[in-house]
This record gives sequence, C-alpha cells and structure tokens, in this order.
Amino acid sequence: MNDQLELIPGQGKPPEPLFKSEHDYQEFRRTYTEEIAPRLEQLREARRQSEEQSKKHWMS
Amino acid sequence: MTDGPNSLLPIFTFDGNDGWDELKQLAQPELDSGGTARLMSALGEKAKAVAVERHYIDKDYRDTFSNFHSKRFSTPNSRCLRLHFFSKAVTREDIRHAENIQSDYLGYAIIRPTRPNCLGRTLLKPESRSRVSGSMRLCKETLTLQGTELTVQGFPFISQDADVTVCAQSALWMLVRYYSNRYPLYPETFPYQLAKLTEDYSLGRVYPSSGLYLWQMTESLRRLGFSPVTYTRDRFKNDFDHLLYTYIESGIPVLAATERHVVVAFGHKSEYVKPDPLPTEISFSSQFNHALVVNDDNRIPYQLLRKKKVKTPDESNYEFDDITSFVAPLAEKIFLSAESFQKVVTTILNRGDVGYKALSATLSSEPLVLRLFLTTGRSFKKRLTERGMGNVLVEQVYRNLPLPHFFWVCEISHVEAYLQHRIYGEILWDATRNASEPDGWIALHYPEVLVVDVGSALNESQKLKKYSLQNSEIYPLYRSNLTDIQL
Repeated sequence: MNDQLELIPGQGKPPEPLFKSEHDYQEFRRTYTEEIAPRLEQLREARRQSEEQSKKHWMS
Repeated sequence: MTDGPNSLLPIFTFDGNDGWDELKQLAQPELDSGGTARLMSALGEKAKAVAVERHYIDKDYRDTFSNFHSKRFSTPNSRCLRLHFFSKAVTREDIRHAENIQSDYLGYAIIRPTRPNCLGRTLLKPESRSRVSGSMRLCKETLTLQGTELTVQGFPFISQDADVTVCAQSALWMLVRYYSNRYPLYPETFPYQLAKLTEDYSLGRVYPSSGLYLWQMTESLRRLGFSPVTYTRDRFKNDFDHLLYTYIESGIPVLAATERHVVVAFGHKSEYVKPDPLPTEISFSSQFNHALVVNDDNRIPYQLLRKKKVKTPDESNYEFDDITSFVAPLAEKIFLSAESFQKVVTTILNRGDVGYKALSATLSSEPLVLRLFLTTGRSFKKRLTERGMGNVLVEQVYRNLPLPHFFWVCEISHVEAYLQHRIYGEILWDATRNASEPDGWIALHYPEVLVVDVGSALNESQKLKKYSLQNSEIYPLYRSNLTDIQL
C-alpha cells in the first residue's frame, strides 16, 4: 500500500533515490556513523560531568 | 485619587509623583515598602490606575499558609490583595465591561502578608515594562475581576517567602506555572508541593528551606513529567551560551544558575547587525544575541540579563559569564539534545556527498549562518503557506509529509539574508531519534534540491528521495516559538 502513496498527489515525475546504488547508501551510513560517534561520545561525557557537578551546586 | 477607599475594590488613579506612596497606604497592611518599590520599578511608567481587590484568596499563598504559616504561634492573614494594573484611568462602570478595559489591562500582582517579600503570584504583560523588548516565550491566563473576564499574556513571576520558598523553589514555580498555564499535560503545582517534591532526596528537613542543589531542582522537574538536561559552562565552554540560546529559541524556558542563585530565562534580545569581522566558516544565529530576558525572584519581572552588564537599575545584576549552569526541561519525547543535533547538522552540511558544497552552488557562494531550534509538526505546517518555503514543491511536500510531534530545524542562510530574517533552506531532523545513525533525517532542503526520507515518514526503513528544484527564492525564517515584544 505504501508503495502507491504519493507525497504530492498527481505529481507527474516521482522523486529519485538520493544515492545511485545500495553500496553508496550503505557507505554513507557507515561513514556518517564513524564520523559522528566519537564527537557524540565527548558530548555525552560533558553532559554526564555537568550532571555530576550539579550535585554540588547549591542555591539559596 | 481613590474611588471607594473603604470598599472591597478601591480604584486608585495615579495623578502625581507620590502616587505609589498613596497606593501603599491604600494597600495596607499587606503591601510593604520593598514591594511598593519593586512594583514602581516595574510599572512606574505604564500604570495609570490600580484596582485593589481586597480579601482575595490566592491559591499559591493559601497552599503555603495551610501547610506552613498557619502552624505559627502568631499567624498572618490567610487572605491577600490582588492589584490589577491599567494603562489608563478606569471607572467602576468601565470594570463591568471587558471590552472597556481589556486593551489597557497590564496584568495583576498578588500581595501576600509575608515578610520580607510580599510580592506573590504576578502575571504582567511584557509591554507593561516600558524599557524591555525582545523575543519571549509567554503563556496566557484568563481571570475575572468582579465577574468581568480578562486575559493576560506574560511569564509568571513570584518572589520567595523566605520560609517555604527561597530562590530555588521560586524559580521552579515560575517555570512549572508557565508550563501548566500553557499545556494541560503538566499539573498545576503549588509552592508547598514543590518543596515537598524533594523530600525523598533531601538530607534533613525540606522546610523552612535554606535552598536546593541544582540536581534536586532537576529531579523535581523529572517528577513533574519533564526530561530535564543539565549543562555547565566549564564542560561546554564556548558552546554554553549558544546552547542556552538554542533552547530559548526553541521556546523552552530554562533554569539559569549563577554561583548561588537561579533565575528563569525565557527570552532573548538579539541585534541583527553585520558581524565585524564577518565569519569565514559556518556560524550560528546565537552570535546576534546580546541579552536574555529573565525573571529573578529577588527583582522584578522581565529583566534583561546582558552579555556584559550595564549598571541600569532595573536590569539584572548578572551577565552571561555569571551563569555557570542551566537546566532545560525537555518534553518526554525530545530525545535528541541541542548539542547532539548541532553535531548532526554540521556533520551533514560538511559531507562530500550530501553537504552544501556538494549539492548547492547558491549556498556555497558565502559562509553559512545557521539557526537551530525545536518545533512541532503542527506549528511548522501551520506556517507553510505564509512562508512559501522558497519553492512551491517544497511547500507541497512538507504539507503532505507525516512529521513527528517534535523535530529539530536547522535554518540555513547567508549573513546578508539572515539580517533580513530570510533563509535559503533548512534541515529537519527527528527529535525522537538517536544521533549516532542518520535515521533522524526528515528533510534536507537546499535551493537546488530537496531530499526527503519517505521511508521513515511512512514508518518504514529509510528511503532518501531527491527532488530537483528550479527557481527557488529566499523566504522568511520560521517564527512561532517566541513572541516579539517591541518597545
């Protein structure tokens, strides 16, 4: 059923796949994950340390 | 001049410089000198008349009265005054008809019989402050004055009673009252309830309160249904002010903590002037922000907290660098935090396959300015027609595309266009997805191309589809999260 759904009703030309091949697509996913994972880990650690610091942050 | 000084609703009209002293006399014994001075500082230039509603039963004061003040040997009055402020002189006859007074209604302040701070629940229009402007997140309340229904839009304010509430509980109250006023999902929570929320994770008594740790405030928010996230300046360094701004731009008020104090930040004041020197790489709209709009329980509503403070009496005592931590009370379904989204979009934009240099000659011609914010599918779609989205095909796709309740938006512009509040495109990213995989992709829109994940939109695996765009134009940036208040 979903295959027949149109994002723009009555549109003549359907959209094209962004990547030319499944290999290109999988490569996009792999390199994206490899690139972003270490950066996200640094951010998670910064947030964890922020939460740790909030245990000693007193407001009166 | 006072109409009916001995009535239950005296109406006071300012007709001279000593008017506030007269108002103080009329509002005895509840209104003290400190409270009068704060009201005069907030409303001195705009208020022309005040209706003094005597024997008002205030739900927040009654909560602390019943649970704390009533247990004292010498008990204060259980009732309050409610002061209604108007920007023109009003008569008793005017007050019978909302249409006569609504446009001049500036809001109300509850005056409690508490010392040293008598200023209780207060909701004033930001326009009541003659010297404050900016973009702010606000909520509405409807109230009745002797049966006449009035509406006021603002951000809630309360001062600490120094017993059940100090600055921590007062800031929490302002934040959660905003949420309960605006969204039925969140419960209306009273000051004593807020104090009691921490009893399972406190050492010793919870009231009279001497304060809270920031993590206790965060945990209180979690128990009220939020998913709060905490940031400290020394961990996030140069991104700290930008992330705080990003949450405010998203319409999420935050608890902003200094070394020993906490305020609620719910707006910003940006100056859209050409940066000098011009950025050479990607930069963010937070570069234009030079002040936050805050409510500080020790001061008056709607204070500007500037990047560098200027010693103006009715502005905040703090500046950006004084804020050492902040807590953003995210909604449950916002799994992706601001800093993670920022990494996502900068990664996508800089890629060789889907980045702007690969797919857009227009965007590649100058350094980019990005604006990041959260919004809802409902609000985003409501503004598609008026914005036009630069291309009719983009508007049509967005209109038809199933969207998550919350998603992140990265608007893409150049400096000159951004100063005119116009953009070239945007990236939409699902806020319910993990950042470590590219599955949060909803849409990537550059002037030459629109790439949509039609798979996730239909609850299937990712299918990235590309539409080529012709004759795209720049179009207005999205405005919905904040209300612009002009001087």
